[in-house]
Amino acid sequence: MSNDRDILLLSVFTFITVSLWITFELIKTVKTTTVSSEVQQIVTPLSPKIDTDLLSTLKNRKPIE
Amino acid sequence: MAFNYKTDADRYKKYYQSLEPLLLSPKKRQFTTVVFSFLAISLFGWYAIRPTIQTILYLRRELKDKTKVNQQMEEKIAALIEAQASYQNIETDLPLLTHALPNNPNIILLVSALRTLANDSGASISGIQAADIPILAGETLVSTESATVTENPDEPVKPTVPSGKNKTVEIPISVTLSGSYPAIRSFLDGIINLRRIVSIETIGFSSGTTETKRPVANAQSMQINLKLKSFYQSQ
Repeated sequence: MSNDRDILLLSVFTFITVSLWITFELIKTVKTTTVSSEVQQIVTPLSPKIDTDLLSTLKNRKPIE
Repeated sequence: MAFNYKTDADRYKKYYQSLEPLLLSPKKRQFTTVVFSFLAISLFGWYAIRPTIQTILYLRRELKDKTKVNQQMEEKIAALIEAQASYQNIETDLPLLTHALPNNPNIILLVSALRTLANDSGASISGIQAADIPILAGETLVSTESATVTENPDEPVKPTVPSGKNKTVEIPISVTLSGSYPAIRSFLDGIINLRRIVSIETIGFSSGTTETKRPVANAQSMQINLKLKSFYQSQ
């Protein structure tokens, strides 16, 4: 009877282990991005604003010529 | 030795015959069903269900990521178009940036500007010392000290080239200046208002004992040691 109980426990723990392993693998698949680092670098947002105040300030300064 | 099933089968008869009463017991049958069910679910879960669900989730994630990347690409294209329009508007003013941060040291122009500034301010430069830098971009290092009057006993300073992608080169310049307070102040204001980037690192004051050479009416002469820093863009 003890032998039967051991086999049952072994099968149950095997089932639990495999279930948890599958769950964590699936969570990892969902969380991991599929976008490569090169593409992430390419799509980095770009601000089209140009600091024209800086140019105005430079224009008002004295040139060295 | 080959297995003779006619004679040797009897030797193992007791093993498979002993399984029969076990399988006839309902409790044993239920127990066996449960154990094998767990093992079968584990086996097929790992080798069949997991890859399938993983593929489904990966494709869904990829679809979501591609949609997001596509949206970001569109936003970036719009930003680039807007930036191009802004660039065209200021294109005529862009040489101002080259004046502020030239592509070559232009040290002679800079020294000349400092002397002109001192003359305009009414101050007198007694020494200018610049770092060993190439006169033109791409040349080997040439000392500019010989081109200027040097009375500063400080050690020669070297240009600093930071490592990495940033190739902005610093040009340390030491200037010894004497004159009245208004003249020196005017000189310093002039440095700050130069179109080329010149930053004042340190100012050392000392009261002069001689009178200024410039006609400043009864003004107390003073002497300052300036450590300036200018920059150029190395190519």
